[in-house]
Amino acid sequence: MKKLKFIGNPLLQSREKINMSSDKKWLTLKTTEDNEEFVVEESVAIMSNVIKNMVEDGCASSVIPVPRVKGNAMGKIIEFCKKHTEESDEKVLKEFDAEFLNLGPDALYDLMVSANFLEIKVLLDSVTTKVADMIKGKSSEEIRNILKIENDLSAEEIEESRRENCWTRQE
Amino acid sequence: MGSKKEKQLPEDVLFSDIFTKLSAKSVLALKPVKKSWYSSIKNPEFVDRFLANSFNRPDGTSLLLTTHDQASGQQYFISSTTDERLDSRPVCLLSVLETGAELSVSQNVNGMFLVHTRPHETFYRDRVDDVYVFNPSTREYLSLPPLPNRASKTWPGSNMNMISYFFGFDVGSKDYKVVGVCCDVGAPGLRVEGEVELGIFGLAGGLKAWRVVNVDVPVSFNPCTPGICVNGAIHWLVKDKRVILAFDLGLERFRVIKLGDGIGIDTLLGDADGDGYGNDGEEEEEDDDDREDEFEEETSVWPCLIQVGSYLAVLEYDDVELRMWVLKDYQNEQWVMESMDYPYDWNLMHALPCGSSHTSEFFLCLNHNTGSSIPKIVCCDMERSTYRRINFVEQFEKIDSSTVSVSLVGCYPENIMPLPKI
Repeated sequence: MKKLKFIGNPLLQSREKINMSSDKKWLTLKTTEDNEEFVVEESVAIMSNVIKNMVEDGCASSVIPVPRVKGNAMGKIIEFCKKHTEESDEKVLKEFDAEFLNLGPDALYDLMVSANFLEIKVLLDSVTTKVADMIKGKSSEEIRNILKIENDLSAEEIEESRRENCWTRQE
Repeated sequence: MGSKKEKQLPEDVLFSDIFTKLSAKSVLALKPVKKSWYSSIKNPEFVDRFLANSFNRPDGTSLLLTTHDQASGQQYFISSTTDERLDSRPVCLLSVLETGAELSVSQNVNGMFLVHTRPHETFYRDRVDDVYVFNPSTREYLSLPPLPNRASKTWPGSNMNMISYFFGFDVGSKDYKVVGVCCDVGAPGLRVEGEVELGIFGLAGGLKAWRVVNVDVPVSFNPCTPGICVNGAIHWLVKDKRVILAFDLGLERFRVIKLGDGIGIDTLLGDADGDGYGNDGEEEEEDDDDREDEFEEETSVWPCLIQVGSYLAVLEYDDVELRMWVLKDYQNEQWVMESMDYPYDWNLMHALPCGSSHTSEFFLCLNHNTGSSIPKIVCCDMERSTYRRINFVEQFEKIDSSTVSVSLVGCYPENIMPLPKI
């Protein structure tokens, strides 16, 4: 059973109304991993360089398949792109981004991997800045927890590394 | 569908997009997190990317300050961030070098500085110069082997020579090179001219010794003037000839760049109108005042060469305004002039200018050589004709400010490049 998710003007409920508005171009993006479909304005979708290239090359048919990105991540991405296409006030965007990126590490990583794959520079920049801020000034152990990395150093190696750059942990 | 293994961030995104946004200190603190990161952080590709992004980060550039304590014989290096978001900036002590004589610090090349014995100290036969490459971002320094003293042409048989050191980056071979210019102490006016002996030390390539080459100098110059490296060449302003002398680090040859029309018309000694006399536009009176002025002009740091962004610029001033001539088109020697008025209470005769990593911006230390212990530094933005005062938070607590004075060296981008072991 296909689930159709419509991201757009909430007042427009039916498909006919979409097709009647001729001044805006719409695309359907389908996440191939979980078969979710999203109808988006072309101007929003082309914030992704990958989709932009497909549209310009003329190989974007009625439905664009998007591999590797899960449905819930896609929804979030479209929400971000829509806001950044509509809003031009830097301050408003900054506040939106802060609120938008208030996610757990798993969701953040999904977003980052997807933004990287879809080549959405603005989103990638925002997410990576957020992650960088999360690890700034933290201890090695805390960084391992945040980035979900296994500790593969021996106690001596850790001690030696600590001695080499001990000033990086001061102040 | 749930997998036991926790989701991990792809390492390429970590290094290319996240770690490049951290400060040098934070990146170095990443070494003990994961085994492979220890070497990934030293990977030249990552190092280059990090340096490139330093110019974009608000906390990516810092000021380097230095002071020498005569009593203890120590040279201190202090840094302060230029982060515009902060009202007052913390300073931190980076490194202390044990050294006898006061050391000179040359301008930075990609965030690294050359620290060396002052060239015009007392000359003695067996003098061994201290030469270090210092990276303030990693707080590492590399001590170079001494360049053997050369025989003097004026007094053959004696190696009474003075070596001036300069630092640059050869874009072609991607190598940092230290150049030692051997100056014959017996030469009149301490000028270097004709054929000169140069010692060249490249940091890469694993060589542990200096290479000595003989090169022709097209115009005589004073080796005590600071050199600025851009576009793979070291540049000196030769005031009395109204040219810039450039040493190409790849070709290992000198060439001359002419100063554009109008540069230094009132402020340089040179003979712009070709009448055989300096002081163009003035009366040709050879009285004591003129000679004093000439001496002051000779020893003054103004006009000077600075680096702004990736360009070379000449900075000068007159009663009304500061002028910056930027060599925007290096190949075709095209200069662009920008100017701004400056406050009447700035005594620019005592100011020391140095460049910055942003185009059309430069730093001025307003109380250089006036004996004040704390430098008064402003950052001038030529494009907007504004300036901002750099306020420091700590008053250099670790140094006894009553006996030593701190001077500004320059503005540098953060570079995590590890220095080779020699």
